[in-house]
Amino acid sequence: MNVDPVRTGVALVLLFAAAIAVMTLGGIRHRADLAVAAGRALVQLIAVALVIAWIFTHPEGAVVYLSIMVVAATWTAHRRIGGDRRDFLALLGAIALGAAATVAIVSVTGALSFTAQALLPFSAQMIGGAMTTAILAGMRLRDDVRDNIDLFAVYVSLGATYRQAGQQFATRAAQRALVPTLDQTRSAGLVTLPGAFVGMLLGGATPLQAAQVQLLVLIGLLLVQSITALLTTRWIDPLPDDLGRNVALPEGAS
Amino acid sequence: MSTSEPAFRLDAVTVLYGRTPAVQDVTLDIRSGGVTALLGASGCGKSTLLRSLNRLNDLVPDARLAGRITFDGQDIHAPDVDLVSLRRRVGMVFQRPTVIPASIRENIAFGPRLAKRDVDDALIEGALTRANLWPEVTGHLDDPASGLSGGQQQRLSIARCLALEPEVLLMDEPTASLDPQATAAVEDLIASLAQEMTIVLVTHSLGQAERLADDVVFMAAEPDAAGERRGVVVEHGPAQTLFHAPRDPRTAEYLGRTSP
Ligand SMILES: Nc1ncnc2c1ncn2[C@@H]1O[C@H](COP(=O)(O)OP(=O)(O)O)[C@@H](O)[C@H]1O
Ligand SMILES: [Mg+2]
Repeated sequence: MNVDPVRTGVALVLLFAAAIAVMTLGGIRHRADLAVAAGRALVQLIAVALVIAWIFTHPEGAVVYLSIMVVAATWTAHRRIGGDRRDFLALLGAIALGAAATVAIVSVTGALSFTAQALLPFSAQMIGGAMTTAILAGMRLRDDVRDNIDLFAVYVSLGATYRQAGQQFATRAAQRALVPTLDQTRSAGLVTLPGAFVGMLLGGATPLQAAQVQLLVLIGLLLVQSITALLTTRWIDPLPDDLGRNVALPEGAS
Repeated sequence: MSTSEPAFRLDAVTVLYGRTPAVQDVTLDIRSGGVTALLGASGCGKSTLLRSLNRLNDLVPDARLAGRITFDGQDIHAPDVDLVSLRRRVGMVFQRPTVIPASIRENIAFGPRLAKRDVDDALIEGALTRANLWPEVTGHLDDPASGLSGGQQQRLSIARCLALEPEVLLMDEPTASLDPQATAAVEDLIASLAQEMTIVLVTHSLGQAERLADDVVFMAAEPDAAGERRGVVVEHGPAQTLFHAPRDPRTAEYLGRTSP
Protein backbone atom coordinates (compact mmCIF):
# COMPACT_ATOMS: atom_id res chain seq x y z
CA MET A 1 0.00 0.00 0.00
CA ASN A 2 1.17 3.51 -0.77
CA VAL A 3 1.31 5.97 2.09
CA ASP A 4 2.33 9.43 0.98
CA PRO A 5 3.99 11.30 3.87
CA VAL A 6 2.87 14.72 2.64
CA ARG A 7 -0.76 13.76 2.24
CA THR A 8 -0.67 11.94 5.55
CA GLY A 9 0.73 15.06 7.20
CA VAL A 10 -1.98 17.23 5.70
CA ALA A 11 -4.69 14.81 6.86
CA LEU A 12 -3.21 14.64 10.37
CA VAL A 13 -3.14 18.41 10.71
CA LEU A 14 -6.75 18.62 9.52
CA LEU A 15 -7.91 15.84 11.85
CA PHE A 16 -6.15 17.43 14.78
CA ALA A 17 -7.43 20.93 14.02
CA ALA A 18 -10.96 19.60 13.61
CA ALA A 19 -10.76 17.78 16.95
CA ILE A 20 -9.55 20.95 18.66
CA ALA A 21 -12.30 22.97 16.97
CA VAL A 22 -14.99 20.52 18.04
CA MET A 23 -13.73 20.54 21.60
CA THR A 24 -13.57 24.32 21.67
CA LEU A 25 -17.05 24.72 20.23
CA GLY A 26 -18.42 22.12 22.63
CA GLY A 27 -16.79 23.83 25.57
CA ILE A 28 -14.78 20.73 26.42
CA ARG A 29 -11.55 21.55 28.18
CA HIS A 30 -8.46 19.30 28.03
CA ARG A 31 -7.32 20.82 24.76
CA ALA A 32 -3.82 20.83 26.17
CA ASP A 33 -4.17 17.14 26.99
CA LEU A 34 -5.20 16.45 23.43
CA ALA A 35 -2.15 18.22 22.11
CA VAL A 36 0.14 16.37 24.48
CA ALA A 37 -1.49 13.02 23.68
CA ALA A 38 -1.25 13.62 19.95
CA GLY A 39 2.35 14.80 20.26
CA ARG A 40 3.31 11.75 22.26
CA ALA A 41 1.63 9.41 19.80
CA LEU A 42 3.49 11.11 16.95
CA VAL A 43 6.92 10.85 18.56
CA GLN A 44 6.39 7.32 19.95
CA LEU A 45 5.05 5.85 16.75
CA ILE A 46 7.78 7.34 14.59
CA ALA A 47 10.42 6.13 17.05
CA VAL A 48 8.89 2.66 17.14
CA ALA A 49 8.65 2.63 13.36
CA LEU A 50 12.35 3.45 13.08
CA VAL A 51 13.29 0.78 15.62
CA ILE A 52 11.14 -1.85 13.95
CA ALA A 53 12.43 -0.90 10.53
CA TRP A 54 15.93 -1.49 11.87
CA ILE A 55 14.88 -4.84 13.36
CA PHE A 56 13.41 -5.98 10.06
CA THR A 57 16.90 -5.73 8.62
CA HIS A 58 18.57 -7.10 11.79
CA PRO A 59 16.17 -9.84 13.02
CA GLU A 60 18.37 -10.77 16.01
CA GLY A 61 17.39 -7.36 17.43
CA ALA A 62 13.83 -8.67 17.80
CA VAL A 63 14.81 -10.68 20.85
CA VAL A 64 16.19 -7.58 22.54
CA TYR A 65 13.18 -5.53 21.55
CA LEU A 66 10.68 -8.09 22.88
CA SER A 67 12.66 -8.53 26.09
CA ILE A 68 12.54 -4.81 26.70
CA MET A 69 8.81 -4.88 26.02
CA VAL A 70 8.26 -7.67 28.53
CA VAL A 71 10.21 -5.81 31.19
CA ALA A 72 8.39 -2.56 30.44
CA ALA A 73 5.02 -4.36 30.61
CA THR A 74 6.03 -5.95 33.92
CA TRP A 75 7.21 -2.64 35.27
CA THR A 76 3.91 -0.97 34.34
CA ALA A 77 1.83 -3.78 35.86
CA HIS A 78 3.94 -3.77 39.02
CA ARG A 79 3.54 -0.03 39.41
CA ARG A 80 -0.23 -0.35 39.06
CA ILE A 81 -0.66 -3.29 41.40
CA GLY A 82 2.07 -2.46 43.89
CA GLY A 83 4.23 -4.89 45.79
CA ASP A 84 7.79 -5.89 46.37
CA ARG A 85 10.57 -7.40 44.29
CA ARG A 86 9.07 -10.87 44.57
CA ASP A 87 5.82 -9.55 43.09
CA PHE A 88 7.82 -8.05 40.24
CA LEU A 89 9.34 -11.44 39.46
CA ALA A 90 5.90 -13.06 39.72
CA LEU A 91 4.49 -10.61 37.17
CA LEU A 92 7.52 -11.00 34.95
CA GLY A 93 7.02 -14.77 34.91
CA ALA A 94 3.27 -14.53 34.38
CA ILE A 95 3.56 -12.09 31.48
CA ALA A 96 6.56 -13.74 29.80
CA LEU A 97 5.23 -17.30 30.04
CA GLY A 98 1.79 -16.34 28.75
CA ALA A 99 3.22 -14.51 25.75
CA ALA A 100 5.90 -17.13 25.06
CA ALA A 101 3.44 -20.03 25.03
CA THR A 102 1.23 -18.30 22.51
CA VAL A 103 4.00 -17.14 20.23
CA ALA A 104 5.47 -20.64 20.33
CA ILE A 105 2.22 -22.18 19.05
CA VAL A 106 1.70 -19.76 16.16
CA SER A 107 5.30 -20.02 15.02
CA VAL A 108 5.71 -23.80 15.43
CA THR A 109 2.54 -24.42 13.44
CA GLY A 110 3.76 -22.01 10.81
CA ALA A 111 0.52 -20.02 11.07
CA LEU A 112 2.75 -16.98 11.09
CA SER A 113 6.03 -17.17 9.23
CA PHE A 114 9.15 -17.27 11.37
CA THR A 115 10.16 -13.75 10.47
CA ALA A 116 10.48 -10.55 12.40
CA GLN A 117 7.84 -9.01 10.14
CA ALA A 118 5.23 -11.52 11.29
CA LEU A 119 6.28 -12.42 14.83
CA LEU A 120 7.32 -9.05 16.17
CA PRO A 121 3.95 -7.30 15.91
CA PHE A 122 2.14 -10.46 16.99
CA SER A 123 4.37 -10.91 20.04
CA ALA A 124 4.06 -7.26 20.93
CA GLN A 125 0.31 -7.56 20.95
CA MET A 126 0.43 -10.68 23.11
CA ILE A 127 2.71 -8.94 25.60
CA GLY A 128 0.36 -5.97 25.73
CA GLY A 129 -2.59 -8.27 26.33
CA ALA A 130 -0.69 -10.11 29.05
CA MET A 131 0.07 -6.82 30.79
CA THR A 132 -3.56 -5.70 30.77
CA THR A 133 -4.65 -9.01 32.23
CA ALA A 134 -1.92 -9.11 34.85
CA ILE A 135 -3.06 -5.69 36.07
CA LEU A 136 -6.73 -6.68 36.11
CA ALA A 137 -6.12 -10.02 37.76
CA GLY A 138 -3.78 -8.62 40.38
CA MET A 139 -6.10 -5.77 41.28
CA ARG A 140 -9.12 -8.08 41.39
CA LEU A 141 -7.33 -10.50 43.67
CA ARG A 142 -6.32 -7.82 46.15
CA ASP A 143 -9.74 -6.16 46.03
CA ASP A 144 -11.41 -9.51 46.70
CA VAL A 145 -9.11 -10.17 49.64
CA ARG A 146 -9.75 -6.70 51.03
CA ASP A 147 -13.52 -7.08 50.62
CA ASN A 148 -13.50 -10.54 52.20
CA ILE A 149 -10.91 -10.06 54.89
CA ASP A 150 -13.10 -11.93 57.39
CA LEU A 151 -12.98 -15.03 55.22
CA PHE A 152 -9.28 -14.50 54.60
CA ALA A 153 -8.82 -14.41 58.39
CA VAL A 154 -10.73 -17.70 58.67
CA TYR A 155 -8.34 -19.37 56.24
CA VAL A 156 -5.33 -17.95 58.06
CA SER A 157 -6.71 -19.02 61.43
CA LEU A 158 -6.99 -22.56 60.06
CA GLY A 159 -3.29 -22.67 59.36
CA ALA A 160 -3.13 -21.24 55.83
CA THR A 161 -0.20 -19.04 54.95
CA TYR A 162 -1.17 -15.68 53.48
CA ARG A 163 -0.41 -17.11 50.07
CA GLN A 164 -2.49 -20.23 50.62
CA ALA A 165 -5.35 -18.09 51.90
CA GLY A 166 -4.97 -15.92 48.80
CA GLN A 167 -5.19 -19.02 46.59
CA GLN A 168 -8.76 -19.45 47.71
CA PHE A 169 -9.59 -16.19 45.94
CA ALA A 170 -7.30 -16.70 42.95
CA THR A 171 -9.46 -18.66 40.54
CA ARG A 172 -12.38 -16.30 40.82
CA ALA A 173 -10.17 -13.25 40.39
CA ALA A 174 -8.51 -14.80 37.34
CA GLN A 175 -11.88 -15.68 35.89
CA ARG A 176 -13.15 -12.14 36.30
CA ALA A 177 -10.00 -10.71 34.76
CA LEU A 178 -10.79 -12.61 31.55
CA VAL A 179 -14.25 -11.11 31.11
CA PRO A 180 -13.21 -8.10 28.99
CA THR A 181 -11.28 -10.33 26.57
CA LEU A 182 -14.13 -12.78 26.28
CA ASP A 183 -16.47 -9.89 25.54
CA GLN A 184 -14.09 -8.52 22.97
CA THR A 185 -13.73 -11.91 21.31
CA ARG A 186 -17.45 -12.51 21.29
CA SER A 187 -18.23 -9.16 19.69
CA ALA A 188 -15.33 -9.16 17.21
CA GLY A 189 -16.51 -7.91 13.84
CA LEU A 190 -19.94 -6.94 15.13
CA VAL A 191 -19.44 -3.98 17.39
CA THR A 192 -15.97 -3.00 16.21
CA LEU A 193 -13.51 -4.01 13.55
CA PRO A 194 -10.50 -5.09 15.58
CA GLY A 195 -7.10 -3.49 15.05
CA ALA A 196 -5.24 -6.24 13.24
CA PHE A 197 -8.14 -6.70 10.83
CA VAL A 198 -8.25 -3.00 9.99
CA GLY A 199 -4.48 -2.86 9.65
CA MET A 200 -4.38 -5.82 7.29
CA LEU A 201 -7.10 -4.34 5.09
CA LEU A 202 -5.35 -0.99 4.98
CA GLY A 203 -2.17 -2.85 4.14
CA GLY A 204 -3.84 -4.41 1.11
CA ALA A 205 -4.61 -7.92 2.38
CA THR A 206 -7.81 -9.66 1.40
CA PRO A 207 -10.61 -9.67 3.96
CA LEU A 208 -10.18 -13.42 4.48
CA GLN A 209 -6.47 -13.03 5.16
CA ALA A 210 -7.27 -10.22 7.54
CA ALA A 211 -9.80 -12.42 9.32
CA GLN A 212 -7.26 -15.23 9.71
CA VAL A 213 -4.68 -13.00 11.33
CA GLN A 214 -7.28 -11.36 13.50
CA LEU A 215 -8.39 -14.79 14.70
CA LEU A 216 -4.82 -15.71 15.57
CA VAL A 217 -4.62 -12.51 17.59
CA LEU A 218 -7.96 -12.97 19.37
CA ILE A 219 -7.57 -16.63 20.21
CA GLY A 220 -3.92 -16.01 21.00
CA LEU A 221 -5.00 -13.34 23.46
CA LEU A 222 -7.37 -15.81 25.11
CA LEU A 223 -4.48 -18.17 25.74
CA VAL A 224 -2.04 -15.47 26.85
CA GLN A 225 -4.55 -13.98 29.17
CA SER A 226 -5.67 -17.29 30.68
CA ILE A 227 -2.09 -18.18 31.47
CA THR A 228 -1.15 -14.74 32.73
CA ALA A 229 -4.30 -14.37 34.85
CA LEU A 230 -3.86 -17.77 36.49
CA LEU A 231 -0.16 -17.30 37.16
CA THR A 232 -0.56 -13.73 38.39
CA THR A 233 -3.24 -14.60 40.91
CA ARG A 234 -1.23 -17.57 42.14
CA TRP A 235 2.15 -15.94 42.31
CA ILE A 236 1.66 -12.41 43.61
CA ASP A 237 1.28 -11.62 47.28
CA PRO A 238 -2.50 -11.60 47.84
CA LEU A 239 -2.44 -9.05 50.66
CA PRO A 240 -2.99 -5.45 49.60
CA ASP A 241 -0.17 -3.17 50.69
CA ASP A 242 -2.28 -1.35 53.25
CA LEU A 243 -3.19 -4.53 55.09
CA GLY A 244 -1.06 -5.51 58.02
CA ARG A 245 1.69 -8.04 58.26
CA ASN A 246 3.08 -6.28 61.23
CA VAL A 247 5.78 -7.31 63.60
CA ALA A 248 6.07 -6.64 67.28
CA LEU A 249 7.44 -3.31 68.36
CA PRO A 250 10.95 -3.38 69.72
CA GLU A 251 11.18 -3.91 73.49
CA GLY A 252 10.16 -0.88 75.43
CA ALA A 253 8.72 1.10 72.53
CA SER A 254 5.14 2.24 72.79
CA MET B 1 1.79 -28.91 77.37
CA SER B 2 1.81 -29.62 81.07
CA THR B 3 -1.48 -28.74 82.72
CA SER B 4 0.04 -26.94 85.67
CA GLU B 5 1.81 -24.39 83.46
CA PRO B 6 -0.32 -21.54 82.12
CA ALA B 7 -1.28 -21.80 78.45
CA PHE B 8 -0.42 -18.16 77.75
CA ARG B 9 1.68 -15.67 79.69
CA LEU B 10 1.22 -12.02 78.83
CA ASP B 11 3.86 -9.60 79.99
CA ALA B 12 3.27 -5.85 79.68
CA VAL B 13 1.25 -6.29 76.49
CA THR B 14 0.15 -3.10 74.77
CA VAL B 15 -1.62 -3.21 71.42
CA LEU B 16 -1.87 -0.07 69.34
CA TYR B 17 -3.89 0.76 66.25
CA GLY B 18 -1.75 3.43 64.69
CA ARG B 19 -0.79 5.58 67.66
CA THR B 20 -3.86 4.76 69.74
CA PRO B 21 -3.47 2.04 72.32
CA ALA B 22 -6.51 -0.28 72.37
CA VAL B 23 -5.11 -2.43 75.15
CA GLN B 24 -2.59 -1.10 77.64
CA ASP B 25 0.00 -2.86 79.73
CA VAL B 26 -1.65 -6.22 80.30
CA THR B 27 0.24 -8.71 82.40
CA LEU B 28 -1.48 -11.97 83.23
CA ASP B 29 -1.39 -15.74 82.89
CA ILE B 30 -4.15 -17.64 81.11
CA ARG B 31 -4.76 -21.04 82.63
CA SER B 32 -4.34 -24.23 80.74
CA GLY B 33 -7.64 -26.09 80.46
CA GLY B 34 -11.09 -24.81 81.27
CA VAL B 35 -12.68 -21.56 80.22
CA THR B 36 -11.10 -18.17 80.73
CA ALA B 37 -13.62 -15.44 79.96
CA LEU B 38 -12.53 -11.99 78.79
CA LEU B 39 -15.41 -9.94 80.11
CA GLY B 40 -16.15 -6.26 79.69
CA ALA B 41 -18.17 -3.61 77.92
CA SER B 42 -17.96 -3.13 74.17
CA GLY B 43 -14.79 -1.36 73.02
CA CYS B 44 -12.59 -2.26 75.99
CA GLY B 45 -10.18 -4.29 73.88
CA LYS B 46 -11.36 -7.86 74.38
CA SER B 47 -11.22 -8.82 70.72
CA THR B 48 -7.91 -7.05 70.31
CA LEU B 49 -6.40 -9.00 73.18
CA LEU B 50 -7.88 -12.26 71.90
CA ARG B 51 -6.57 -11.77 68.35
CA SER B 52 -3.12 -11.14 69.80
CA LEU B 53 -3.01 -14.70 71.14
CA ASN B 54 -2.84 -16.32 67.68
CA ARG B 55 -1.34 -13.23 66.03
CA LEU B 56 -4.38 -12.61 63.90
CA ASN B 57 -3.94 -8.91 64.62
CA ASP B 58 -1.12 -9.16 62.12
CA LEU B 59 -3.86 -8.79 59.50
CA VAL B 60 -5.19 -5.54 60.91
CA PRO B 61 -3.75 -2.45 59.25
CA ASP B 62 -1.45 -0.51 61.58
CA ALA B 63 -1.89 -2.87 64.52
CA ARG B 64 1.29 -3.16 66.56
CA LEU B 65 2.12 -4.91 69.77
CA ALA B 66 4.61 -4.17 72.51
CA GLY B 67 5.44 -6.54 75.33
CA ARG B 68 5.69 -10.28 75.33
CA ILE B 69 3.25 -13.16 74.89
CA THR B 70 4.32 -16.73 75.38
CA PHE B 71 2.30 -19.78 74.41
CA ASP B 72 3.41 -23.11 75.84
CA GLY B 73 6.59 -21.40 76.95
CA GLN B 74 7.46 -19.97 73.52
CA ASP B 75 7.55 -16.28 72.65
CA ILE B 76 4.98 -16.01 69.84
CA HIS B 77 6.75 -12.94 68.43
CA ALA B 78 10.15 -14.58 68.24
CA PRO B 79 11.60 -14.20 64.74
CA ASP B 80 11.72 -17.96 64.22
CA VAL B 81 8.17 -18.62 65.38
CA ASP B 82 6.11 -20.84 63.10
CA LEU B 83 2.89 -18.87 62.70
CA VAL B 84 1.12 -21.64 60.82
CA SER B 85 1.80 -24.11 63.60
CA LEU B 86 0.75 -21.54 66.22
CA ARG B 87 -2.57 -21.03 64.45
CA ARG B 88 -3.17 -24.74 64.13
CA ARG B 89 -2.56 -25.23 67.83
CA VAL B 90 -4.59 -22.14 68.77
CA GLY B 91 -7.88 -22.23 66.86
CA MET B 92 -10.24 -19.30 66.48
CA VAL B 93 -13.99 -18.93 66.30
CA PHE B 94 -15.21 -15.56 65.13
CA GLN B 95 -18.07 -13.40 66.27
CA ARG B 96 -19.93 -13.62 62.99
CA PRO B 97 -20.21 -17.19 61.73
CA THR B 98 -18.10 -17.23 58.56
CA VAL B 99 -18.27 -20.43 56.57
CA ILE B 100 -15.97 -21.26 53.72
CA PRO B 101 -18.06 -20.95 50.52
CA ALA B 102 -18.06 -24.69 49.86
CA SER B 103 -19.65 -27.84 51.23
CA ILE B 104 -19.90 -28.79 54.88
CA ARG B 105 -17.29 -31.47 54.25
CA GLU B 106 -14.92 -28.98 52.63
CA ASN B 107 -15.20 -26.70 55.62
CA ILE B 108 -13.94 -29.45 57.90
CA ALA B 109 -11.34 -30.71 55.45
CA PHE B 110 -9.71 -27.34 54.76
CA GLY B 111 -7.37 -27.19 57.75
CA PRO B 112 -6.30 -30.85 57.90
CA ARG B 113 -5.69 -30.94 54.15
CA LEU B 114 -3.36 -27.93 54.34
CA ALA B 115 -1.62 -29.65 57.24
CA LYS B 116 -1.15 -32.66 54.91
CA ARG B 117 -3.14 -34.88 57.22
CA ASP B 118 -5.37 -37.68 55.99
CA VAL B 119 -8.89 -36.44 55.43
CA ASP B 120 -11.24 -39.41 55.67
CA ASP B 121 -14.87 -39.81 56.65
CA ALA B 122 -13.86 -40.64 60.21
CA LEU B 123 -12.14 -37.29 60.61
CA ILE B 124 -15.16 -35.42 59.21
CA GLU B 125 -17.59 -37.34 61.38
CA GLY B 126 -15.36 -37.03 64.44
CA ALA B 127 -15.08 -33.24 64.20
CA LEU B 128 -18.80 -32.78 63.56
CA THR B 129 -19.65 -35.12 66.42
CA ARG B 130 -17.42 -33.26 68.86
CA ALA B 131 -19.12 -30.03 67.78
CA ASN B 132 -22.59 -31.53 68.44
CA LEU B 133 -23.50 -31.03 64.80
CA TRP B 134 -23.29 -34.55 63.39
CA PRO B 135 -26.94 -35.61 63.86
CA GLU B 136 -28.13 -32.47 62.06
CA VAL B 137 -25.90 -32.80 58.99
CA THR B 138 -25.53 -36.54 58.37
CA GLY B 139 -26.40 -37.23 54.78
CA HIS B 140 -25.89 -33.57 53.86
CA LEU B 141 -22.10 -33.35 54.01
CA ASP B 142 -21.85 -32.25 50.41
CA ASP B 143 -24.46 -29.53 50.72
CA PRO B 144 -23.22 -25.95 50.75
CA ALA B 145 -22.37 -24.81 54.27
CA SER B 146 -24.06 -21.49 53.60
CA GLY B 147 -27.41 -23.30 53.76
CA LEU B 148 -27.02 -23.99 57.49
CA SER B 149 -28.66 -21.81 60.13
CA GLY B 150 -26.52 -19.29 62.01
CA GLY B 151 -26.23 -21.53 65.04
CA GLN B 152 -25.28 -24.51 62.88
CA GLN B 153 -22.74 -22.40 61.01
CA GLN B 154 -21.16 -21.40 64.30
CA ARG B 155 -20.92 -25.03 65.41
CA LEU B 156 -19.48 -25.85 61.98
CA SER B 157 -16.86 -23.14 62.60
CA ILE B 158 -16.01 -24.88 65.85
CA ALA B 159 -15.92 -28.30 64.18
CA ARG B 160 -13.61 -26.89 61.52
CA CYS B 161 -11.17 -25.86 64.25
CA LEU B 162 -11.53 -29.16 66.11
CA ALA B 163 -10.53 -31.08 62.98
CA LEU B 164 -7.03 -29.68 63.56
CA GLU B 165 -7.00 -30.99 67.15
CA PRO B 166 -6.02 -27.63 68.61
CA GLU B 167 -4.92 -27.24 72.21
CA VAL B 168 -6.68 -23.91 72.56
CA LEU B 169 -9.86 -22.41 71.14
CA LEU B 170 -10.16 -18.64 71.05
CA MET B 171 -13.80 -17.63 70.80
CA ASP B 172 -14.86 -14.06 70.11
CA GLU B 173 -18.44 -13.58 71.31
CA PRO B 174 -19.42 -16.80 69.52
CA THR B 175 -23.08 -16.44 70.42
CA ALA B 176 -23.48 -12.71 69.80
CA SER B 177 -25.38 -13.21 66.56
CA LEU B 178 -27.39 -16.27 67.63
CA ASP B 179 -30.90 -16.70 69.00
CA PRO B 180 -31.36 -18.04 72.56
CA GLN B 181 -31.80 -21.64 71.47
CA ALA B 182 -28.71 -21.64 69.27
CA THR B 183 -26.84 -19.83 72.05
CA ALA B 184 -27.71 -22.59 74.50
CA ALA B 185 -26.45 -25.23 72.07
CA VAL B 186 -23.14 -23.42 71.60
CA GLU B 187 -22.77 -22.83 75.34
CA ASP B 188 -23.32 -26.54 76.04
CA LEU B 189 -20.67 -27.30 73.48
CA ILE B 190 -18.20 -24.86 75.05
CA ALA B 191 -18.76 -26.42 78.47
CA SER B 192 -18.07 -29.91 77.18
CA LEU B 193 -15.01 -28.88 75.13
CA ALA B 194 -13.55 -27.15 78.18
CA GLN B 195 -13.13 -30.59 79.76
CA GLU B 196 -10.42 -31.43 77.27
CA MET B 197 -8.91 -28.17 76.07
CA THR B 198 -8.18 -24.55 76.87
CA ILE B 199 -10.85 -22.07 75.89
CA VAL B 200 -10.50 -18.30 75.90
CA LEU B 201 -13.95 -16.83 75.51
CA VAL B 202 -14.66 -13.18 74.82
CA THR B 203 -18.07 -12.13 76.05
CA HIS B 204 -19.86 -9.02 77.18
CA SER B 205 -22.58 -11.17 78.69
CA LEU B 206 -22.30 -11.48 82.42
CA GLY B 207 -24.67 -14.43 82.41
CA GLN B 208 -22.56 -16.30 79.87
CA ALA B 209 -19.40 -15.69 81.86
CA GLU B 210 -21.14 -16.91 85.02
CA ARG B 211 -22.41 -20.01 83.28
CA LEU B 212 -19.15 -20.98 81.60
CA ALA B 213 -16.07 -19.36 83.05
CA ASP B 214 -13.55 -20.93 85.37
CA ASP B 215 -11.39 -17.79 85.33
CA VAL B 216 -12.49 -14.29 84.46
CA VAL B 217 -10.43 -11.42 83.11
CA PHE B 218 -12.47 -8.29 83.66
CA MET B 219 -11.55 -5.45 81.30
CA ALA B 220 -12.62 -1.83 81.05
CA ALA B 221 -11.87 1.17 78.86
CA GLU B 222 -10.22 3.81 81.01
CA PRO B 223 -9.29 7.34 80.00
CA ASP B 224 -5.57 7.99 80.35
CA ALA B 225 -3.97 11.31 81.38
CA ALA B 226 -4.60 12.72 77.90
CA GLY B 227 -8.24 11.58 78.05
CA GLU B 228 -7.76 8.83 75.48
CA ARG B 229 -9.59 5.61 76.23
CA ARG B 230 -7.64 2.39 76.22
CA GLY B 231 -8.51 -1.06 77.49
CA VAL B 232 -7.01 -2.25 80.74
CA VAL B 233 -7.41 -5.36 82.84
CA VAL B 234 -9.20 -4.39 85.99
CA GLU B 235 -9.27 -7.71 87.74
CA HIS B 236 -8.39 -11.28 86.95
CA GLY B 237 -9.07 -14.41 88.96
CA PRO B 238 -11.25 -17.44 89.54
CA ALA B 239 -14.86 -16.85 88.52
CA GLN B 240 -16.12 -17.62 92.02
CA THR B 241 -13.97 -14.92 93.58
CA LEU B 242 -14.54 -12.34 90.89
CA PHE B 243 -18.29 -12.71 90.86
CA HIS B 244 -18.87 -13.08 94.58
CA ALA B 245 -16.07 -11.09 96.14
CA PRO B 246 -14.73 -8.62 93.56
CA ARG B 247 -11.69 -6.73 94.80
CA ASP B 248 -12.01 -3.76 92.51
CA PRO B 249 -14.90 -1.29 92.84
CA ARG B 250 -15.10 -1.06 89.02
CA THR B 251 -15.79 -4.79 88.85
CA ALA B 252 -18.39 -4.52 91.56
CA GLU B 253 -20.05 -1.68 89.72
CA TYR B 254 -20.16 -3.69 86.49
CA LEU B 255 -21.62 -6.63 88.38
CA GLY B 256 -24.18 -4.33 89.88
CA ARG B 257 -23.15 -5.37 93.32
CA THR B 258 -21.45 -3.45 96.09
CA SER B 259 -17.94 -4.51 96.82
CA PRO B 260 -17.41 -5.95 100.29
N1 LIG C 1 -9.03 -2.64 63.13
C1 LIG C 1 -9.03 -1.61 64.00
N2 LIG C 1 -8.46 -0.44 63.65
C2 LIG C 1 -8.46 0.60 64.51
N3 LIG C 1 -9.01 0.58 65.73
C3 LIG C 1 -9.59 -0.56 66.13
C4 LIG C 1 -9.64 -1.72 65.29
N4 LIG C 1 -10.28 -2.71 65.94
C5 LIG C 1 -10.62 -2.18 67.14
N5 LIG C 1 -10.21 -0.90 67.25
C6 LIG C 1 -10.41 -0.02 68.43
O1 LIG C 1 -9.79 -0.63 69.53
C7 LIG C 1 -10.62 -0.55 70.67
C8 LIG C 1 -10.89 -1.94 71.21
O2 LIG C 1 -11.67 -2.65 70.26
P1 LIG C 1 -12.02 -4.17 70.43
O3 LIG C 1 -10.78 -4.93 70.71
O4 LIG C 1 -12.80 -4.57 69.23
O5 LIG C 1 -12.93 -4.15 71.73
P2 LIG C 1 -14.07 -5.17 72.19
O6 LIG C 1 -13.86 -6.47 71.52
O7 LIG C 1 -13.90 -5.23 73.69
O8 LIG C 1 -15.38 -4.54 71.84
C9 LIG C 1 -11.87 0.20 70.27
O9 LIG C 1 -11.70 1.54 70.63
C10 LIG C 1 -11.88 0.06 68.78
O10 LIG C 1 -12.46 1.20 68.19
MG1 LIG D 1 -15.14 -7.48 70.18
